[in-house]
Amino acid sequence: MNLDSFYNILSKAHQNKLPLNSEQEEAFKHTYKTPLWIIAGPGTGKTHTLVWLVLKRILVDGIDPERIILTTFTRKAAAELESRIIQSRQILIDAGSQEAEAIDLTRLHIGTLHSLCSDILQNQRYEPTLRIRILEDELVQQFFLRRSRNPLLNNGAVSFWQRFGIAKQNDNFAPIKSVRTEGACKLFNRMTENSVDVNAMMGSGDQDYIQLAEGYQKYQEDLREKYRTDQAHLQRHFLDFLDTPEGEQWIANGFTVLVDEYQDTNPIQEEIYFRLAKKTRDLTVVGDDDQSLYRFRGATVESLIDFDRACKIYLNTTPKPVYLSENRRSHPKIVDFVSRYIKKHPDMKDPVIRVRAPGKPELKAASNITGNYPAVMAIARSTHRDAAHKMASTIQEMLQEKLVSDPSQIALLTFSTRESSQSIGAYTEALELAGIPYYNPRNRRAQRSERFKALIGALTSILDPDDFYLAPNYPLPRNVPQYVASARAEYLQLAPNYSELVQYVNNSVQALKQASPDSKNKYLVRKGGRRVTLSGLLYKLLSFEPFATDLGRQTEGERFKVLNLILAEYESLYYSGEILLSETPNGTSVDNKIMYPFYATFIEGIHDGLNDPEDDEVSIQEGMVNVMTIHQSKGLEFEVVFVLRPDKQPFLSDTHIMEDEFDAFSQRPTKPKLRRSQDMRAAEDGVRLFFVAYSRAKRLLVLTGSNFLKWQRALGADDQGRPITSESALKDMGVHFL
Amino acid sequence: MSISSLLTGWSLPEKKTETKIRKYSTTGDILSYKRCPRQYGFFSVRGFSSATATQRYFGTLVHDVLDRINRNYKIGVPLPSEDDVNELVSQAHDRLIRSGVRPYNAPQQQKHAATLIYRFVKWAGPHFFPNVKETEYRLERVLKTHTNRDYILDGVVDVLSGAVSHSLGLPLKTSAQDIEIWDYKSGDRPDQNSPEMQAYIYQMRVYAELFRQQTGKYPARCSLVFIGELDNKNWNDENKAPKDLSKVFNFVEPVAKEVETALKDFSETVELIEKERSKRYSEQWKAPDAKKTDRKTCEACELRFNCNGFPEGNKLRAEAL
Repeated sequence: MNLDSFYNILSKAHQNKLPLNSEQEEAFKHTYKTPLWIIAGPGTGKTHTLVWLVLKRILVDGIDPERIILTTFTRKAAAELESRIIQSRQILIDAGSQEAEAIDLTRLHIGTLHSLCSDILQNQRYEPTLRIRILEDELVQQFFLRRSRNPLLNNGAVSFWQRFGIAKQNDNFAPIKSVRTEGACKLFNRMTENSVDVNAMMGSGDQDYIQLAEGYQKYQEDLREKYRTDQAHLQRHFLDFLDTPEGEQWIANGFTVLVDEYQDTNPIQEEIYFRLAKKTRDLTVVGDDDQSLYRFRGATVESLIDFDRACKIYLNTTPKPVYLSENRRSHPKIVDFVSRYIKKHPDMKDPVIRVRAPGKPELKAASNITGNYPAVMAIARSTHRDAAHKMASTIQEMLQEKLVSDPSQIALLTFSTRESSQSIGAYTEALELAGIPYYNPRNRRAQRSERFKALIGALTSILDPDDFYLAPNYPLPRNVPQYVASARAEYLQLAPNYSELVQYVNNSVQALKQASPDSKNKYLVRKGGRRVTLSGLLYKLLSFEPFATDLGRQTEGERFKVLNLILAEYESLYYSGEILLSETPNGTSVDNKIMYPFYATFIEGIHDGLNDPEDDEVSIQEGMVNVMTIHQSKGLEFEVVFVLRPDKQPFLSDTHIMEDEFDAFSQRPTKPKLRRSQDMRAAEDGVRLFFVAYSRAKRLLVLTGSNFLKWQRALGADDQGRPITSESALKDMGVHFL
Repeated sequence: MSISSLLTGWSLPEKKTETKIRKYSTTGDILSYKRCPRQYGFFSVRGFSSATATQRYFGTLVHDVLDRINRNYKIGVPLPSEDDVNELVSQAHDRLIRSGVRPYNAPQQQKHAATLIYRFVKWAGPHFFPNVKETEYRLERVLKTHTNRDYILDGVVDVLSGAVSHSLGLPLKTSAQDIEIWDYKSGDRPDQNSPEMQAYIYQMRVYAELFRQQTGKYPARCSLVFIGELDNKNWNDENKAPKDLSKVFNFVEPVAKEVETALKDFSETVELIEKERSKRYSEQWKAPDAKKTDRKTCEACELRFNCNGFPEGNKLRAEAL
């Protein structure tokens, strides 16, 4: 089929109108002698273009689906992409295309790069990764470092941790072990992703780097020894595989590679993509640098911004840029606001270094949403409470007046959905007071709920009736005893109403005390002789009320699940969760070898609330107003968006510091020659976050918060480039104050 | 000023409904749901962790070693001796242990696995391995349910082979051109009329159909191999062959009508699962009727202490620990 016949059938399937605008058509004309660089603003039909482009590549360019690798950022997005490709093919079949009928889409490689690497390594039976266990969760990676006693965790020099941004400059002491562990994981991940030269680090003569390199080498040895890998190392394994004879054979003919969300690619992924497409030069990257949000996970926005430079280095060629700028999502006034915001923002301008992709046109409004109303509004009050109250009454009115068809068409977006007073507590509280149903997976009630704690309380009551957690000769991390005590208290509060549970806990305590471990079996067993595991106890507790009912409720159930998963990973590292016993004068008790790490590592890991993975694949809950982080809202759209807390200031994070610290050792071929200052990079990141938040809105965008004087970063500059510092300046731009 | 008075020309946004095409695995979804909807919902859909890794140890071990023998054979390594098999088992075991799988009584299980595998290799190996075409062969098709819902059905065939049965001289209508699908089961053969066996047979029929759609024609037969049936009970040590062959092999020859029934059954299961997913969280994945579940499934299930499908669990719940 040639391009004309493809267009014909495509038009036929769409009431005789080609569903592509002239910008999108540019991508379809490309001949792939060089890579294709699609820079697509929000709401410009990026996925739509990508889906039809894949079908065009198969039908017109004759690429075997088996030779196509298509990746995107999350599993959920990958599944959606696959769905859409299958549906689009069906549209062509329904329009009478026999060619479309003949293609076998199940042979396409669609997924996250991570999942594809894992599948390919398995299919190829790459020896070093056969049945390997992946440390998927950050917390689990931390458990691993602790279990393997990584020497870096003993580094007590505050200056070391300050150097990498893990301790504050005015700290007097090195951070506590859990913070060091988290920091060490970040350091190691960044080192892997940036292909850091460990030998150069060792030979640097700089004690900090030498210790870091030693810790890293030990970590790598431990991964090998314990047959585990982390996300970054899995990709390293994949690159190593490509260098084996089997790998060379596998990649010999090269692939057609299409990458979605390329702005959030890290250096090792960049290297993989160029390796996959080395032979064919058939590489298409799609993304929007202005929506890059994952620097803190090692993403490098310059992968997209400087894609032309990378093509020169890897392939000695120049890519063809294609810009998608027609926004079909939002009300024209929202498009204007968003477009001005990113274009005029002082933080996004630099005379030397590219901060945005070159040649990018402004967004153009092209949606069919009209209405002569101020589509951008603001609620600015002197306190969060007042702002929250106004927000809630506005939402209530919209629901009462039926301005939306379902509450889920309204979203509250923010930096962090923790419901603390420093964050958005006032806003969710106002919703609650107004009786507006809302969904926030980080809901305080679920997070620190009495129930969650009571469950931990019940579990530790069984395991530790003698209050080992208070034992002074085994000092636990500061917060742990306090947390366990309050968890026990929550359990005791439940007790009067749940006698069955209490009886079970008490019976179990007795059974444990009376257990008689012998030399053959030193572990706690249930009636019948099977060993009891921590997970086993947790499941059993969940079979009692009130937990059994909680398990069936979404918010609580999902939190219990995370607890269950993390416990399972913990168990795989610590005695498989089996409970070693020892005799004491008070009867039998759980051995210290079990209890100490259970408290110091597991409880320490979960006590401060479970992880809040920013790319958590949230699904929108119907019938409720959805509260989510800006990160979670990526790729979504809502009719009405309240962006909470425009007073939030950008903050310099360890990632910005590590980028500079590792620069000298990075072996990344496309390492930027120059970077902006750390503060400027942090400021850019802040602007991109607000840009993503604003551009989610279809019909109405409401900036909501207090402290108007601090909104400047969130407002940017006006058309003349003057910073917006007053309400009147904002009103002049057509923003309505509620 | 009220918000509605500001919104001149506002139009009511439509509610969007998205249809997702979900991927279903024959074993991981369809058969698992049929075994128990509640267990499936909690462990496969919601993703709770289950301790079955321990139970899977033996199966994984057998599977990995047979796979390795296959791969080795392909690159010219001769079929393994008894010592070689022991070594391969120990390597596979080592990988599983290092990654955190903790089986009960591992040495005995290892020894047992090595015995069964070596018997298989020695007895059937010369007919089997030379005919292997592909291992872990993926079958994947976009299908429609009877209500016209699209779904992707996938299954991974352990071995796609040439005429193994022909080479073994089995009393079947075989030819040297046969293409066969082989699926290893590490345990004993279940009773012919048991739901478990029926599920296996349906699985084979569906594989046959996916294979037909993918390649244009049915395989000659799908063969279930119950490696567990090579144990001492069923082993004749004199002629180094199983006493009762029909316990070791179960052949499913694809017949259009039966295949259609099996596929219809699968697509109905997909509809049931989709219906379940569309319910409210608290209403999803209810326990099945106690008569419909298999005791062994329940006894190994973490949810057994509070489940309508397993009334005994209520008593067990009160017991300590």
